[in-house]
Amino acid sequence: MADIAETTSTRLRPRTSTGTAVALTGALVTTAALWFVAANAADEDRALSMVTRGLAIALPIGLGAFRLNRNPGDRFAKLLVAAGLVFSLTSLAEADGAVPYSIGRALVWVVEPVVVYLLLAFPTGRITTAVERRLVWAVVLLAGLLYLPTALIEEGFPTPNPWASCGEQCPHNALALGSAPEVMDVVRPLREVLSVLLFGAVVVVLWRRTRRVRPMLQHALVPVVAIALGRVVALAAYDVLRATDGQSDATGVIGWLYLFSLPAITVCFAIGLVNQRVFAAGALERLALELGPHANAANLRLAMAEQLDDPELRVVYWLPGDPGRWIDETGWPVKPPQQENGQVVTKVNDGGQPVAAVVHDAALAQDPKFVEAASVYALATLENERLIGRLHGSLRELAQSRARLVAVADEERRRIERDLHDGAQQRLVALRIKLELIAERLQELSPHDAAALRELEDVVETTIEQVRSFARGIYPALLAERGLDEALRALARDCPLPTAVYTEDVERYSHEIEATVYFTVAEALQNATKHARGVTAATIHVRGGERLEFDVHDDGEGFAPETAFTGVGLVNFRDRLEAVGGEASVRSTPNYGTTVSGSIPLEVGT
Amino acid sequence: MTAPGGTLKDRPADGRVGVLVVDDQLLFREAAREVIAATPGFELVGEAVSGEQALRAADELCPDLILLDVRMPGMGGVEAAARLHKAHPDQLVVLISTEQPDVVERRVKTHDAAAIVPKHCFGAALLRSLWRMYGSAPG
Repeated sequence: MADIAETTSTRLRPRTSTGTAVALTGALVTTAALWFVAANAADEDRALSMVTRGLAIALPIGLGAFRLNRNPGDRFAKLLVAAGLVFSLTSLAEADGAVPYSIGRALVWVVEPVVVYLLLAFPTGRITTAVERRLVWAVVLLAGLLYLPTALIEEGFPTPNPWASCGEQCPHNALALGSAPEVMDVVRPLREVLSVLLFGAVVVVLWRRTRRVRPMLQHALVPVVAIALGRVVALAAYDVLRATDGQSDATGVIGWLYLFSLPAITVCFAIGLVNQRVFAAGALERLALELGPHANAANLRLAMAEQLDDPELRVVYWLPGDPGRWIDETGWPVKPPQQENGQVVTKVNDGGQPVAAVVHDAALAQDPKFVEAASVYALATLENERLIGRLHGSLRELAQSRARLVAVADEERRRIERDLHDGAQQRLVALRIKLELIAERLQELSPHDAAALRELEDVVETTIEQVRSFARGIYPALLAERGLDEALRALARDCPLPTAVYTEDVERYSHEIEATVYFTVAEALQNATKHARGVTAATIHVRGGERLEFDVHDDGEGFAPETAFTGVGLVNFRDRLEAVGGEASVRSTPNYGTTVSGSIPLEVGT
Repeated sequence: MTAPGGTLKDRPADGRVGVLVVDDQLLFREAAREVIAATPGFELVGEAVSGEQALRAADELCPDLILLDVRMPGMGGVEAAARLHKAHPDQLVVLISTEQPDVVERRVKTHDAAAIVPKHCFGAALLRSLWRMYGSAPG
């Protein structure tokens, strides 16, 4: 699992120091801008101007640096940094000198297209729809046609202006080539109305996008729509107030509010991104709950599709081989995953080798870490399931191999018993018969020799009995021929301990089961005879049915339960029963004897 | 001459007791052959190696006494004894076994076999006493 946990998406490049470098640059630029404002701004507005500009520059660059640190390829982060740098140049508008002041004032007009681009490109850093692209162009054209060129035909920039604290006493326009007040009388209200309309259109476009996109992106967009709306309202209000009474306090306050909306946009971007991550965390949590501990490839795809809110989401798996190939969750070969039809690919690698790939909506690609986390988690769950499956498989194999060992051992016992019966026993029997034959012939001729032969016959007879007893101990012929019931009764008769046998619905079962019960009972009886103290009698109960159950009870002193299953005999007993899928237990109560019980599931046909 | 039931010997016409030996063990059949040959009044009429062969041999050879091993591949002695008793109640069936007689006894209906004897006890004396005890009233 460690390998899976370390998996990284190939879409991500290794972490670099880009973020740190950007942050340092941002700090330098912000400091320089603050120093410039501190040195030039009008006394009464200096503090406010410093705070506003400081935030307007530092926040976007800071957020950009933070995101670049996580993902150096983050396009929106780069835009934020660029915007911060552009905003920093507007500090020149605080200059006392006409030239820097004029450049600063002209650059203020560039701020708005940048803001619009940022708003529409959030959070991917790309303008995707034609409407958005046209809007951006419209704002650029507005700035390029109705704002920037007017710097050449106005003696002074419009005042008051929130970007310059000089109020009505500002330096003259150093960029002016002439003066055309009649043109400006038309252009100024026109461009202000157009600006408000275009910014309003941006709000509408953003709002419509918010309603269209997946919940995760919705959570990111809502604060951005809110600030865009606030900003256009502030702009409209400022334009109206400036036209009616440029000197009023209200104009000043709204102006400052409008200026503050610039850093506020960055704050809203940050809130949106945090929202998105909170939603992603929730989605991951739901994914984890939905997948549960036993995921398979099919419900993994469904769970991911649901939680990532992408019904088209597919997960394909790399099947290593020569050559390897991609397969889907049903094991069917599929073409290699690739970016197409608005879908992108997040690959999951394990130690440099592909494991799987998630083909998902491009909208999700804006947060590759999220998709990657979801994929890695989901695959880790799957891997877990596979490992558990493998473990179960191993346990099953182990149980089967144990059962095979027992079966082989039983078969070997039967073979030895047969060999003894067919070989040694028969030879001894024939020997005994032939000795008797010779003894009978010699009886009249040489009674002494006949008697000697009959003594030999006794020796042979004893040997026959010993071999027979030995063979029965190895595997009772009766068990193979007649089954448990009779074999156990014979066992009880041979037992030195008075033993009663009760059987109920006992039929014929497989060799393994019959041998297991027989030898377990034999072992329990032997334990009772040899080791238990105070035993005077024993009983054997065997019941057939759905399970074959048996117990062997003795009336001895018993032993403390904690010593149960410590003897080799008892461990063997449990092992033997487990090998045929059965269970074993030993109950012992001091003064009430010991009961060894076993239960074996019976399948049809055993 | 052979019969499907087993190895066939000429049926004695002199009133001797015809014995059929049924056992899959060659060693015992050889020993039994010698014992029977050495026992006056008894004649080996045939041998069989399984319960199935014993049934056919009993039909064809009409032995007076059948020595039937309990443990044989295929049909064992216990089942063969029951069938023989049914088919030929006049033939004396004696079960022989390497097991202790009491173990075998529980599995045999009393009228199916006249006696159950340990294999190794087989000999001329046993043959004579068996015939003396059960021969006149077989079954």
